[in-house]
Amino acid sequence: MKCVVTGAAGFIGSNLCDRLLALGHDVTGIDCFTDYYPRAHKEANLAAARRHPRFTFVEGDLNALDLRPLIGAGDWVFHEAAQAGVRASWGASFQIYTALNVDATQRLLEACKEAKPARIVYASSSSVYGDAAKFPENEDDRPQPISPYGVTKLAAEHLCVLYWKAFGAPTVSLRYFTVFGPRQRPDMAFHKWCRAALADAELPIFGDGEQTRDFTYVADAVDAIVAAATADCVGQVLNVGGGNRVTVKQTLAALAEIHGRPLRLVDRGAQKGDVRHTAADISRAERLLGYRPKVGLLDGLRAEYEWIKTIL
Amino acid sequence: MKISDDLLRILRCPVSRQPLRLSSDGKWLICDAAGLRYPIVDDIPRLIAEAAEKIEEQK
Repeated sequence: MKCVVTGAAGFIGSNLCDRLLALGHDVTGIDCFTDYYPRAHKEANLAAARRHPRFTFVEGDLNALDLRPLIGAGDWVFHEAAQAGVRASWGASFQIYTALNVDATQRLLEACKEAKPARIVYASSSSVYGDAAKFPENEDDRPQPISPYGVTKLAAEHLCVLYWKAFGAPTVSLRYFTVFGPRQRPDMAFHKWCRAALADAELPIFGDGEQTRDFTYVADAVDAIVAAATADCVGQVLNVGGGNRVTVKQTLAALAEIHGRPLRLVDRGAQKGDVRHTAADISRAERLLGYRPKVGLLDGLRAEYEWIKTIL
Repeated sequence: MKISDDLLRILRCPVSRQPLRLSSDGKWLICDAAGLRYPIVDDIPRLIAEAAEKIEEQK
């Protein structure tokens, strides 16, 4: 199958490209290398894919590229590109989020409307839920994001459903819950913690440590993404959680175990826009995608820790 | 990973929306309609505004 992956140089996008190539598919990657984190990280993410004969890559902005010729009838389109970061989405930078998360998605969907790919899989986020009233969070719960980032991810998700209903564009949206593992972005907590532990530096902790996250290992998330390309799930919005709901404190204890030494924790206080808890009800993804997360927190965190050792 | 004919066929100038052609030295993608060229760096076509150069400026 021919695949188009936006955000191909990012954390999840690059892992997805590698998986698709390993499965025998042809992949065209697109990425604009936003300056949210250093380009060198993203180029390293792409290194394996770029050596593959069935991989092609274009550096371009979804808001400027002529996307229509890049997408063929019957292709699978995986829309992983986004401006990431909850905390950075406030204030003047919100325009970047609306441009890269909402406008870019709308342009891609317009191109897909004409190109007629077989499937469009959109990377949504658990941040659309905000501080949920009940747990686990179910796709039918009313999303109430508490960050501008979450608002833009939800808006794009609505666009995907809208283009399905209005034009038959075969979209499916996957709400990822705190994905971790090798190639995780350097601004994400596990990455910063592993890096700090290995450098024997202070680990910044936001909040009281009792907040919980449903952590999802990246290979499990990729399982769901690939399954969503063929499953009977068009027009759906699906939670992709890892079944690893733990507190920040428990996560730090796991990291200390992997590291083999105590960590140097520093309290940085609660951050505006951070949700208190996340927990995914993944029953719909289980039913429609056959999704079964396989990698637990300790094994996944160890894989990320070992990967970070290789890039220091 | 080189710029294949298949990839060249589906790339368009972000400004003019016209097809691009490969420069004779293989280092640029040229849009004659817009008078712009886009560099190919490490075999990656950089179709972004910051990387584009006006062809006239190079003469």
